[in-house]
Amino acid sequence: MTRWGMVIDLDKCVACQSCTAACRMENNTPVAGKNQADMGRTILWNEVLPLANSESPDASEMLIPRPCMHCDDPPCVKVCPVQATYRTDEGVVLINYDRCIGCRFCTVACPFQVRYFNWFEPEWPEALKAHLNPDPEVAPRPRGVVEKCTFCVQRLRKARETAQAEGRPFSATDYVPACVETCTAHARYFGDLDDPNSLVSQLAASPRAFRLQEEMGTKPKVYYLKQG
Amino acid sequence: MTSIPSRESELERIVLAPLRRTSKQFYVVLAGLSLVVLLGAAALANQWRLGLGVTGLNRPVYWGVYITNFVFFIGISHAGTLISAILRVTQAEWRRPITRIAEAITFFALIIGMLQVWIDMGRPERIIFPFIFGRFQSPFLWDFTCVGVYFMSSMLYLYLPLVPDLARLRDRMTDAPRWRHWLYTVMSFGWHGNAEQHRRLEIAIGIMAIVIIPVAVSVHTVVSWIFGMTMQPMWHSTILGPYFVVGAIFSGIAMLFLFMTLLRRAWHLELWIGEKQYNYLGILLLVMSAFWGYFTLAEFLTTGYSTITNETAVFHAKLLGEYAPAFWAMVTANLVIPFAVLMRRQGRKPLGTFIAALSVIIGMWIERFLIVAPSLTRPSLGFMPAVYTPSLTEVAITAGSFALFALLFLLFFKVFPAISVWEVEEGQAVEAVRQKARELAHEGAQPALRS
Amino acid sequence: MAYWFINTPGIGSIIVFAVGISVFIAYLRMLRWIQTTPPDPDPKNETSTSDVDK
Ligand code: SF4
Ligand code: SF4
Repeated sequence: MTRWGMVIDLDKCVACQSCTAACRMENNTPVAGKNQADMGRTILWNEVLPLANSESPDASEMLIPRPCMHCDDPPCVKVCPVQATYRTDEGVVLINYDRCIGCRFCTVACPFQVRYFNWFEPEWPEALKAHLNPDPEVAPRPRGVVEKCTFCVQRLRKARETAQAEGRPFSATDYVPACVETCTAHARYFGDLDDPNSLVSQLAASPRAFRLQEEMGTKPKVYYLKQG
Repeated sequence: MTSIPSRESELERIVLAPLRRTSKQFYVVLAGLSLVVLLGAAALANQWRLGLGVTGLNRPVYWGVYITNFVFFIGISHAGTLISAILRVTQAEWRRPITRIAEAITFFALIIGMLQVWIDMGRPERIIFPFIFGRFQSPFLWDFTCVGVYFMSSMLYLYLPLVPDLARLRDRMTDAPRWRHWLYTVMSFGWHGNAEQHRRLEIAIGIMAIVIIPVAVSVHTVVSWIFGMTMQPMWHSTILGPYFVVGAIFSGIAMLFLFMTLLRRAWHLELWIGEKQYNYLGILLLVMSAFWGYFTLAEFLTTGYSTITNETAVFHAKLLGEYAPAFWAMVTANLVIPFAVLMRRQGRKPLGTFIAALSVIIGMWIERFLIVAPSLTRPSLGFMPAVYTPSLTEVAITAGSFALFALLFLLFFKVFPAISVWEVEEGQAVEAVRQKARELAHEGAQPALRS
Repeated sequence: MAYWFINTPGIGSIIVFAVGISVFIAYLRMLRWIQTTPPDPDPKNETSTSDVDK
């Protein structure tokens, strides 16, 4: 079985944030506006976060691009009262927007704060509206539900459809999420972690590889390659 | 007995008086409370129209005042039942005039508490989903189970001791408005009150008093587990269950004091709710305050002594950071003031206990808030600390909830007697028998032994 | 593994309702048991109103 995972090489990452921008265009996340952004209500499925290495004032800062970790043992899925969020057989954690009751239990249970809530009806300036991704799978989410990075499941579906139309078996290299495709520094890798020959599984085994908050035991499937 | 001129005993006359006559003040209070409730309802309507964005919540502080209210009111609900049940089981005679008030607090606090969950939902119209698609792994489902059972139990526990009084009202208040007489008749379900029926009622009350104690403990434990089951700093703690239960009983007694004193004033029940109740309940409040202090110390010392970065960040935010004023206000309100007032016997009087209780209520609300919010502002992933300032909507809805709580309580005691008349009568009978026994024993004893 | 038991949507609801309804029925039966006490043949013994009456 495929187990989708991602590797981000922090040595290559230049923190240009094009992954964040690409994600927004691919997945139709709404524009919060200045007031809401100041309140901390932007919806950024992928975010480049400055994380301090330690408490000391001369500590260096790591800039970490952070999608959903798609944990293999996801605490968000555990606490959802209605199974609005669930883990697929391929290890991707998704949300059923028609089911979510907006209790935000998952958002407080996720140790990575990668889940976002739709505080209001989603909005876009007119100029942007014309450029929304028409794919129905990423149709704007209604107010009052939770959303987050899906590893671009709509792209996975399209890749499968294409493979079928072309009459060939689907291969794990047929698809990457938008952030991986965009990354200017080619710092992101995506693929099947269960395939020992895949690039991601080999990079994930590298001595430079680490995961965020591994000690939480949620088994994240996003690996980072240490800087320097 | 034949020499009593009135048909009614003094107890009945006093207790039933507010059910018969309505004073001007009553309407004033009623109007005031209704106004605040309406304000809260308007704020809620606005929130439902626009979305939860009208609150001050953000990422990562996804939970705030509503969840605080939820924990607080569910805590208040322990007032009643637990106290009244424990006192009943231990046969404390002085409980008799205050059990009804305690049980009513429980019932109404539960209603308001459950309402908060609904208010907090992003999609309130999907409230039935947990009852259709419920997944039992989620602590919310544990909550629905326990709170549901607790709700029914406390309703029955309020209702059972009410039945003989209802029958009495049915027979006495024939001059009441038709709907009320009808209500009394239906609710007393043909109670005739012979010895056998009384025996059965006592058995049922006895069973409920015992059943309700574990149910009440389970409810607040499960409420705490909503937090405890996540891995957030200072939520993920094994002490949380008992800590919540202790806090619940603590705030419950305080709420009982508050309502008991107000009702005593308004309904003129000074003759029945008196020195004994204030003294003993005051001691209980003091004991719970000490317990609460002990749990708080245990929790904070264990966290603060360690060097786990996530946890100490929250710890510092609470003790020294932006939550420090609230934290120290809580310590003052929950420990310093109750001890200062209630340690002396002089303080365990209506005025003193009222002040102490009010302070505990405020302190416990802050405590609930300090459990919910600060942990969320210091996520373990360690980016910038978040800020959470409740919005006016949240303030209005909270005020409305408190007003609704008081309103329900007031209306209930406008229609039903505030003191369990038959139980107090029973208490008087018990006291009379004891008195008689003492006299007999005294006569038989050596005259010189006692003066 | 019995994970399906706690994970399947709907089973939780069934548990909530099963517990709730059984408790409800138990309480109703308790009330009914009190209600159906046979009345005394002699109405003098009834104490539904205060003793002062008699
Ligand atoms: S990172 Fe958070 S949202 Fe993503 S799977 Fe893990 S717990 Fe769930
Ligand atoms: S907010 Fe939605 S997805 Fe998250 S726990 Fe609640 S119902 Fe589940």
